[in-house]
Amino acid sequence: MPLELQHQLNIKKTLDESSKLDFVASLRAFVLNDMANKMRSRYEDKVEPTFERKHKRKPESGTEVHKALMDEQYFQFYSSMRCTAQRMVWNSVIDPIERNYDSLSETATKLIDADNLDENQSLEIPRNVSALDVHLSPGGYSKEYNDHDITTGAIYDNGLAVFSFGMMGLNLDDIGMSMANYIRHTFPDFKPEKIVDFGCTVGHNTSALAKTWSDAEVTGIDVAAPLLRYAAARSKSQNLNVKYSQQDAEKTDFPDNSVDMVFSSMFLHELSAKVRKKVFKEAYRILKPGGLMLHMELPPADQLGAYDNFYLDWDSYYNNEPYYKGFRAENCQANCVEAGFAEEDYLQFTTPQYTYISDDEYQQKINQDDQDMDDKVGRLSNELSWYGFGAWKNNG
Amino acid sequence: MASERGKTMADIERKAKGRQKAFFKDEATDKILSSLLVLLSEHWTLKQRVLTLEKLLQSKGCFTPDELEEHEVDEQAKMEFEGMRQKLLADVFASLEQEYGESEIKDES
Ligand SMILES: C[S@@+](CC[C@H](N)C(=O)[O-])C[C@H]1O[C@@H](n2cnc3c(N)ncnc32)[C@H](O)[C@@H]1O
Repeated sequence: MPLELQHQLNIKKTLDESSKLDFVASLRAFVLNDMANKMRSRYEDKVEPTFERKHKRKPESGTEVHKALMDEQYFQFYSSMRCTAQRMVWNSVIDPIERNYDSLSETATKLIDADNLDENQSLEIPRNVSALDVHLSPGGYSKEYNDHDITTGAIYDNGLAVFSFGMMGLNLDDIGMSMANYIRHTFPDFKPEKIVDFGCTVGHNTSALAKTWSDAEVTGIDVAAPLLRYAAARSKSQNLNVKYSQQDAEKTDFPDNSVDMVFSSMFLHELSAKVRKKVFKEAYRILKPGGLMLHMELPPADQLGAYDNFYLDWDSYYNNEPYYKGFRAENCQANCVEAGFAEEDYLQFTTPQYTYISDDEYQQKINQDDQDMDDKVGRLSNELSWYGFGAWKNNG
Repeated sequence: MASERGKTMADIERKAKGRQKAFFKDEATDKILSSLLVLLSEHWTLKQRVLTLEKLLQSKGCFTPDELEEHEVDEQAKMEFEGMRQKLLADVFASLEQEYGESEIKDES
């Protein structure tokens, strides 16, 4: 059975629709586990030794590995199938959404009010969102089919459930839960009262922040209105007190020194380097002294080997993610320092998944783990872990 | 049921902006592979439906496996089946319409 969304916007699928969702999720799991492992073996047994004979050294970067693999038939099958699977993810959810659109829209409208949603129709949609259908999702984030539309939100939420083939928890919030609980256990005295999530999409991970710090005032911001409408309805139906506001993370409405924690997940790699710098500065500006900026992201290239870099950058080459590789090539600490944070206030870590173990087990695991970077960080596969980094804003 | 402000739902876009890269020397191979996967998905969908149906009917004692083999459907059903086969072909070969080439947008920052 496909993952059923745990809120009132869940769609009742027909038997055929749910068979298709199941199939696509299984196909993704097959390509990303079985085929990915086989591709790596081909590389190690054949492609790398050939490269070494020719160049008298091993490939040194992801780009070199990529080039060496291009003519390998297994790489071609893996990539071609992964691209088709990506298109099938979106197409498999669009049918049931279209069929249920009117009732879905009605449910959402009932759940939204001025307290949980703040739209700004004059906001200019940045080019990285308007000009591009990131990860090949039709309509991208911001396409609107009517003036109270939620389509792209519904596509994202339902699509993510298929895309993640059960690896992100029932609520699709494992990233948020893992990040928040890592901070809660590692810094027990830190009790944020005001939290902002940059690029919150449908609020699936924003919700995790509200669950972890239930007294906090949590706001999710994004530039795309249909996502925020959907997010507001989603959180409301789960009785979570989260507010959604249509704002550009480059230049928000929050006053200076007003927020305890600025969070983002899988957000920075969808921005150009120029915008990313502004977003760091904006986070610094709105944070209170003693506040925390925390980002969940793909691990940086300089912390992984050549093959793993090729593997993670695959999306940049083939999944309409033009900024992904550029982001991974940057130095996260240097970015924080450039935005005003002190070098010694930088932190980075990897965390195991929170969702599938008890709180005690999780705490034990983060205390024991040497938290090495390895090929399990940031990719959907068994024993996956997440990478986080950020910085505290200096008190002085 | 029309949506609240009197506007009806447009068909949802099914194609993402941007081109799809081909991986094989001849992009026809990418297209055929893509079709094969769609076909496989159709095949699974059908199989699951038939298996579910058979289990349901047998659990209700509606037929024996022999009766299923002997049964013939009427003319109207035959026409419906033809329509469905045409849709199946269109879906399986949707890959022929996919454009291949370089993506137009690069990180220019
Ligand atoms: C990959 S999604 C983030 C996913 C989500 N945070 C998660 O945890 O899975 C990137 C989001 O950032 C939004 N976005 C892009 N540029 C933005 C900007 N300048 N300000 C605010 N949101 C932005 C997009 O609309 C999109 O919803």
